[in-house]
Amino acid sequence: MDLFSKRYTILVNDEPVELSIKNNKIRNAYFMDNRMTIELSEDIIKQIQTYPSTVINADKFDGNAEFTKAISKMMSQQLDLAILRNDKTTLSRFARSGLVGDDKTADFLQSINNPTGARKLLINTVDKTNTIFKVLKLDRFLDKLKEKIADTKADAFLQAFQQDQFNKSVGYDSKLHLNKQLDTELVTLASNFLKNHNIEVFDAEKVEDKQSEELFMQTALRNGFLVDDAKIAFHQTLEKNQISKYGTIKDNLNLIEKFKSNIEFLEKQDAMKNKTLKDFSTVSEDMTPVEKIDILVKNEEYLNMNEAQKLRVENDVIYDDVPITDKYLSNIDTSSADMGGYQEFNYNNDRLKSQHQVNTQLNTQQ
Amino acid sequence: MQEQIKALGKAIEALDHNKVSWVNKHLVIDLHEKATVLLKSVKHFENDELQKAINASQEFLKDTKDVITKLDGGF
Repeated sequence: MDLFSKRYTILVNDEPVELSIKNNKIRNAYFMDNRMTIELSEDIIKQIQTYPSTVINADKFDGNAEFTKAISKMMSQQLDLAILRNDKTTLSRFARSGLVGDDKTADFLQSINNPTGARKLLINTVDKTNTIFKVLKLDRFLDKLKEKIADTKADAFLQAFQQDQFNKSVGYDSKLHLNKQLDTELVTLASNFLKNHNIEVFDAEKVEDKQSEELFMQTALRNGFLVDDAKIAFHQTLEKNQISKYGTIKDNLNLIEKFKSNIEFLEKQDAMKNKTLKDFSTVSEDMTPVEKIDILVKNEEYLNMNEAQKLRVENDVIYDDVPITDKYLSNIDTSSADMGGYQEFNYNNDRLKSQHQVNTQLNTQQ
Repeated sequence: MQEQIKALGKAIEALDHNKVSWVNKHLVIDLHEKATVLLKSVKHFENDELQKAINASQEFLKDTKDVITKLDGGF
């Protein structure tokens, strides 16, 4: 039991709706500085209370028809009241906000009361259709419907219509929908469904997986939930199950990185024995040529080689760092290559460069 | 009857509250709910009740024609 009521703010197009909630019931509601009556179901009140912040954007309840209807009705009452009282402060606030729509002309009141405008047309249509339902005695009608609909399968046309709605439903996007607030009953329905059907992963290419998804959407529809919400609930619950079991992709990538660095460390540790040439190349990876020579002369495989082989290895693993050598190596006698040969090659290379510069200068002078 | 179901299906699709401003949303939701009830009634009722539901649907579709046209074209 709550001792004090807690205040929550719901932002609708940047206009705040203030709600005071105590013992899961709305005590007071304020909109545009006026006290209003608003009726919300316990489910929605719970969602508001469990939201991490006391300021909530109405977009969080996007797709919840009951919430939208209650808020819209309250706003509409406020607007009607302001028109009757000729409350210019509230009317100008409505005119400035995006709550009334884009069919505003210079005269705000005239545009609202325009008989061919959106508001008048909708009000008239609702009144007319109310008469139809009064003749039908709606309450009795709905009770009979509930009896008839329970556990009956839709016919071919309705199935096709349903299929069409399923295809049009939103695609699940983990970034957008993983933390989207959904009806708790729907989430429970999804988690029970996944448990009963033993579904742990979803592959959009697999026919069985698609069938399971559709089956759940049908079940959710029969329980009065929206198609989009049902699809999001299915994938959201599946992803949350996976995260609780296997962790997030980021966690797994971090783990892989950790394993990789561990393997590299172990490989280096093993290579420290300096037995084979591979060990040598692993250990001396980031070393300068001089440091490399110090390690190479202690390498077991290198020590067991004859002189010609040793020379080739030295050329391969130490002097190869200078890329231009690859280009001109074929011109040098590798059998007698030593540090002297390397210097001679550099000397020849410099001479070629200066010769080229002289030639270019001569050409330009001519 | 199939035509009625098809027309009501289209009406349900067109009566989307996202197409109107906040002060008018509850009116569109009201019409959407009525259309859904009528669709279910036409599908599930029999004999006299079915005939009543069909008549009501016809009236409903006639009354909401302007709204649906406006919603399709954008208010």
